[in-house]
Amino acid sequence: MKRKSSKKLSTKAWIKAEKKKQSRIGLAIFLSLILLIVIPSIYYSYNILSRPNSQTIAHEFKPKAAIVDQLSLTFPNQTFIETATNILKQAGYSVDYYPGEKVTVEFFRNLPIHGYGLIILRVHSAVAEGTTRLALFTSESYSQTKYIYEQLTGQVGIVAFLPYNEGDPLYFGVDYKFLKESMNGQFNNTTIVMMGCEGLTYTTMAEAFIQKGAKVCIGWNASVSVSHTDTATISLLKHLITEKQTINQAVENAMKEAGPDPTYNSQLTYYPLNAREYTIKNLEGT
Amino acid sequence: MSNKNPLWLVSTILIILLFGTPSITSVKAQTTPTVSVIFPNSTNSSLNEYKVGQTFRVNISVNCPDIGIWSWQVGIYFNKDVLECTDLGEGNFFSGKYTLGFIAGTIHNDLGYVTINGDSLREPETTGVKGSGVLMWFEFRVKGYGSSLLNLTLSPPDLTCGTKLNQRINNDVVPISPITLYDGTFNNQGLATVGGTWVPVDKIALLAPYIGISIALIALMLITVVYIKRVRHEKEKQQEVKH
Repeated sequence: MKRKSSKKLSTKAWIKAEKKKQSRIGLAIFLSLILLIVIPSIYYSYNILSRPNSQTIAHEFKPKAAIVDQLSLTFPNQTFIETATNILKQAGYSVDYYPGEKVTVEFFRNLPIHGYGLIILRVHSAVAEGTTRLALFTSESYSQTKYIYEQLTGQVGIVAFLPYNEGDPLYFGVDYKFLKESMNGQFNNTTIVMMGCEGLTYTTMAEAFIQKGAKVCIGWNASVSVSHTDTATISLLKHLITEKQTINQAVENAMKEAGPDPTYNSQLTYYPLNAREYTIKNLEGT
Repeated sequence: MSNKNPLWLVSTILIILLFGTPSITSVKAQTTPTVSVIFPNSTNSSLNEYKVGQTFRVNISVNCPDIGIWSWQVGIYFNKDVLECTDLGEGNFFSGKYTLGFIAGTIHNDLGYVTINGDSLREPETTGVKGSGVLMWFEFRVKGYGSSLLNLTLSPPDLTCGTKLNQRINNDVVPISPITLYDGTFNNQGLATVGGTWVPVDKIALLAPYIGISIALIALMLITVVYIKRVRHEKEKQQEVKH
């Protein structure tokens, strides 16, 4: 019946109907293509841009200390860990120890929310050549598919141990931008001890810690050897924690005892300079 | 009268026994020859003295006071991740003597050893050299942090590596046995920095998969549009032919 009736239709009308049909098919294909583009775009944009929302977890101040031992994978020193833990425990601190494998980008992201009063970063660190940017090493192997937003914005970078040869393992390192933009929560007048190289050659990282609520950063002004940083840090902790000396006294006395690094001639120093008269006791009180 | 006193006789005999020339000659024990790795600090160990990139020499010293050394060979093993051998040469032990000439071994830094080096006296020399001196030296470059034994292993049967001293008995050259080898120990772990280096992030490579997907989708879209237009155009043509 339909055929018969269609035969009756004029040729022009038939062509019109056919054209309409084709344009509908074309539109449908076009729309599905648009959907094909839009859906993956949304998915990838979400993947690239999504990151945990800033968390601000209120916490009471407790005399808590953390030893972040990223060096345990390359330069383990059980004597250092035991001695530092004893000094801190005798002063009433509860001590959390983080071995190398736990030191990841996510670990640094959430570091402030634990409410530590003192954080000892026994962590490799390095300044990028020709810049003032310091990277704190993680033990997380580098991947092109992880932390893409942070990589594109320079918050995390690729770092490697020295001497570096092509093909050596690569790791993620966190930059001061990461502290400013991606770290969750706030430090609570925390004292940060950066045991790695060049922690205070430039103050960008220390400034970022201070902006995130830390009170003072103590670190080296150049390269330092592993044995020397361990020795000097134990000396620093004795003066700072056991003897309750001021930041300035403790750093000076640690330097008198341990001396500058015999190989690299680096010195322990602190930032900001106006923290010179603080003691750990009044840091806890503030 | 006093000469007949037996006490005088006994004391005379005692004096002769105590101070008289003994008829038995003393036998001196032969010293075991030693071959040692000696660092510039005059010991056989080097602790935290050399950073990565620095070079140092070790002497292979011999002490053989009682047996004449006619020929010697020295090979050495080391940790290839920490050290690399950059040079080697003969010492002064045979200096001034007629020798066959120093034969240098082959350095295998990829495997961590140097095959045997050696030298031998030749005629008109007739006896070996006794005493102490430097057989040869090795120069190493520090390429990493860690420890390494500088191992003078006794010669294995294939003679690719190892240390041996020989003496000449009549016309035969035979190994001196036993000999004592003092290996060297190198360690610079304590000097390792707690630093590192930055490696630039390749942002293009980072975005490459996403750029690729986008290009593929756009290309697919264009192809579809062209295809539809073509189909439409063909149909129009067919309609025109019909009419």
